[in-house]
Amino acid sequence: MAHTGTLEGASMEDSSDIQGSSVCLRSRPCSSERDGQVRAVKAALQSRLGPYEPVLTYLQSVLVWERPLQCVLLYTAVNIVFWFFALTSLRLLFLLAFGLAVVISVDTWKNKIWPEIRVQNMEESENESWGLVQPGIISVPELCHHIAEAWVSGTVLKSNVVQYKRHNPGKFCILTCGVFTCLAVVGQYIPGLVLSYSALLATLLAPLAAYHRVFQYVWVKLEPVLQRLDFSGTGYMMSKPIDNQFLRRPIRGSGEASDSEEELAAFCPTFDDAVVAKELALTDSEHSDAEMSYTENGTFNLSRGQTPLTEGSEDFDRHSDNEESFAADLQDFPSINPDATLMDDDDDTSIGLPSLALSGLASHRASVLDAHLDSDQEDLDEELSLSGLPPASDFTGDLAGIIASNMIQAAIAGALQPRPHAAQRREGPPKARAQRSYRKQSSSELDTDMDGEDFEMLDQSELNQMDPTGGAGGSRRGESQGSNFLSSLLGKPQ
Amino acid sequence: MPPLEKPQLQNKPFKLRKSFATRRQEVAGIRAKFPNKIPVIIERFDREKFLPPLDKTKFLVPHELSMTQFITIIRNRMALLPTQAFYLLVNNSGLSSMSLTMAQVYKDHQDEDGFLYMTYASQEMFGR
Repeated sequence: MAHTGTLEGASMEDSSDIQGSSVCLRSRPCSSERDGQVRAVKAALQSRLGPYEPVLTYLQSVLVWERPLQCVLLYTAVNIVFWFFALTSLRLLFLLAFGLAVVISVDTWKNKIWPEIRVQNMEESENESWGLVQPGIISVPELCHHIAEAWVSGTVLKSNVVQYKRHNPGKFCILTCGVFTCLAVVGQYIPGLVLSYSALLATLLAPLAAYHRVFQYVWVKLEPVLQRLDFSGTGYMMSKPIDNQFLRRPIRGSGEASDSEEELAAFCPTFDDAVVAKELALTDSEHSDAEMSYTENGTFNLSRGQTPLTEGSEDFDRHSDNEESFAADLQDFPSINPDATLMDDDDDTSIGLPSLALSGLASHRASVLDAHLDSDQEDLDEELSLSGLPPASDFTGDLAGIIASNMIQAAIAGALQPRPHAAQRREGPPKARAQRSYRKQSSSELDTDMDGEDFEMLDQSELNQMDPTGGAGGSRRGESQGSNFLSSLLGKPQ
Repeated sequence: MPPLEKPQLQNKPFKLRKSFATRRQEVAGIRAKFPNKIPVIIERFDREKFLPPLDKTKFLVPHELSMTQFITIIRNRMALLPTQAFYLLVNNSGLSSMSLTMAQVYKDHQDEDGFLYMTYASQEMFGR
């Protein structure tokens, strides 16, 4: 918590009131003119409502059912009044005139007669009223603030509408006619009584809902559903951050001669909308139990390899159990299919083994660089595996890149082979590995080709896109992004 | 009534504004009216520059409210930003534990007139 710094001396107390209030109003990104308006309206409201604080607090506590008996009475009274007006046979003009008469009588009583006849209580008038502190109930200043905000917003909206009408009256006419036609249709099909009664009930129940934070709860529940609805396969593809790499990839890789069509086809994931929707909902919802259930049935791993969305979570997984994943791969060495295992072997020994053997070193360097994102981590691993002694490695990036691309090409060829045995045992990993090795390659090429590419990958829009996808680990992902950036900066000269 | 006389009332601390007897009487009256509430006087530290003045000085606080909740409510009342520091000093003697309830604080620190006096500042200060 930042101190606002009162060290600057204790003078100028007189001006502190104004300054303080200007500093301490909840500031918004909009103009200070609006703030000024809000403050003025708030001050006016507060001086008006200040003496009624006990009443307002009581009313709020009744509305949120803190006093059940009074609340029931209030609901009954409101219902009686409503149905009286709804079912009465009295004419509108009568009601209007009668109401006005009552209002004027009360006003006269309050302002003229009551001050005359009541006992002058000097001590009472001198007394300031008490402020009531009650948890969960907004106090009068807060209430005034909200009302003032709403009031100023309404004023701004009104002036905007007037402006709009002045500048293009035709559009304004069409818009208003459309809106009122909609309302007319609603009014045609739903009786006015039902509408007004539901409006009344909503008004009565809204404070209760706000008190119990129903809106936030509903929003949390609704958000994943909305996102699921929102998404179609192509839109999903286009909106993903890693997608940029996919798009960039053929252009840059065409000159390398290490790419074939089928290789590229292997990298392009096939999207199943249902799976992807499930996954998106998973990454966005913060419920750990959902994650548990998805990790328990193996489909999560499979789809994770396929879709670029969960890049971050794959990342976590990789880093949390690097050795474990390697150990799991070790069991697959004696595969039935000889050529596939050969290639697989190659892949594993070149990438996995040294990373295990030099894990201490690697972890040391990783901790130094704080390299969390897999592209750089794998790059690091690769470098380790190739050079053996990483700190003293004088391999140029070119050489490493060529060798790595050769090996990875072989590995991919192996991964693309039909492997009935492995397919039975684990459906996911081959594709996942292909994807990973592709990414290794791409990262190595990134290193060799141009350093500026990394910066391009980390542009602001991608970061923004990364952020909302992060459910539980959003902040961590952002951090790892930043550290990737850092490590890519630091790691280049080695 | 308030606009004219409030500024000069605000300048003087509550204790100087009213006599001991008046305060005693006021506490007795309010305790009789609201037996489950604690009368608390919250005033701005006299050399405070940054925090705005509160609109009220006298507050009725439920017994079971914790200091944390109380401070949150007061902060909300002043519309403080999350970055602004706010300290509530009990009886001008220092900060109290945030986990205490108001009843406990009242029991330990209540003034002889029956009020519980608190001062708020943007910086904690001891031995002023």
